[in-house]
Amino acid sequence: MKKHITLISVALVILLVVIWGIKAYNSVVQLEENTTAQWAQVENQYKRRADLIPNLVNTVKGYAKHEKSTLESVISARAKSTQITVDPQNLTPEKLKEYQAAQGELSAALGKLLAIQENYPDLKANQNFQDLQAQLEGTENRIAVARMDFNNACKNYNTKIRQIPYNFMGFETKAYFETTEAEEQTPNVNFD
Amino acid sequence: MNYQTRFLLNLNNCHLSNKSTTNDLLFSFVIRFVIIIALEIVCLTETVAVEIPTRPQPPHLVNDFANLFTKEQSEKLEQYLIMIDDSTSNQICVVTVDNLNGQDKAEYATLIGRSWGIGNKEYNNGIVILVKPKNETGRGEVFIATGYGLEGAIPDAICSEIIQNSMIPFFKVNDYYTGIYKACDQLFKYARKEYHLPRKKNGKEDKFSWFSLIFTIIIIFLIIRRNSRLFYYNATYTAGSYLNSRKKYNNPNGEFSSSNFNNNFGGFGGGSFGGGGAGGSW
Repeated sequence: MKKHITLISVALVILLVVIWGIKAYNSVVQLEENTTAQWAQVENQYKRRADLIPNLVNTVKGYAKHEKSTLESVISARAKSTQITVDPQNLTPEKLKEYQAAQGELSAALGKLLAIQENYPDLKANQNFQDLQAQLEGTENRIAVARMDFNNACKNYNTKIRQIPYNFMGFETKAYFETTEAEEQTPNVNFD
Repeated sequence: MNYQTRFLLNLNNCHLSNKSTTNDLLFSFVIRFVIIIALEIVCLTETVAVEIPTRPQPPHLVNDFANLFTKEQSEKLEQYLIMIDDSTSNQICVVTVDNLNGQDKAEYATLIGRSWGIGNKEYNNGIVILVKPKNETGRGEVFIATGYGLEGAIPDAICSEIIQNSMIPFFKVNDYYTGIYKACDQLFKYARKEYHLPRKKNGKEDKFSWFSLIFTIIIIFLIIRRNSRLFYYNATYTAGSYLNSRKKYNNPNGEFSSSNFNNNFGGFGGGSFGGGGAGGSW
């Protein structure tokens, strides 16, 4: 009888360890899935911004025809940014950097485009332009939030997989999404 | 947790039938093991980069940290916002601060909404109106942040129009109350189109968690098994405080009698924000 109990106990402990191992593995998978979901949010918001641009360009065109180079740089930057897609399963630092650079270039071009409104009072007073500008600003805010969420998800994931025993499970760290220099230069709108 | 519970219950039966000391030792070891693992699974860290005011206790919909309103204005606005919350479940929270400490107003407002949990969890229908008056630290800033669920009903362009047409003209002559009241009025009208059902009596749902079940079983088990005095007191103390905290959780209205207002605001509901809304400055 006593032998039986010991055997059963050992079997139960082993069972428990196995269950715990499965749970530990699954918890990391969950965190990894979360980073993928958050990345989708980041891409969604950038796409939303890209979708707003044609309308914005057309509105500006009506008032500021000879700002051709500014308009063209926005259009080409937009085309470039929409070409780069990142596979969420494969978030390598190089790929992210490429994506960031393209989006950063578009941000800078957009900043210049919005800055020219100061020279065109009619454009500035146009209701359609004001609405577009509000939407664009809202999208930039959403991008910032989505990026923050993505970085938090990556941080949770990266912290987890570096800890014992998760570091033996063969997960790879994910790259953070940092702001590029071009994006740091927010458009300077003069209010004087 | 399902497996663990079933497993524990099995162990319970097995244990009650064989009263040997080795088994007893092993069992307490196993339980400790389970607790440690469970705690590890539950714990997840969260970081906030921007510093924002902590959630007021008891919760209020008007949080006039910058003292822009008189007491009557504050009360009137609070009652109006509670009416909106009760009748349509949309939560509009007004926050005024003296200084944004150089932080972005959009991020600031969004984080207030998130960390205070404005709006309910199901619809995410909260709104934050953040106002920083024009003072020695710089220009006046205002931001209306909309919860995820209201981004469709109140697009950013509408927020921007409300700010430009209803708020800033009044803010410029230091009439913050009228500007904010008008904005709330308009936001209410837009939000009502999307969510118009009255707030549920008990906004927070008490979810059944396997973790608390296991925890309770363990404590009860320990009380029964170990009749040593010290252990007994410890265990009852833990169980007691656990039950108390549960009681508090179930009844968010219990502690509001101490509030200045004679309100019945049911507390924030855990809504989330994604950066929607618009801002302005003057």
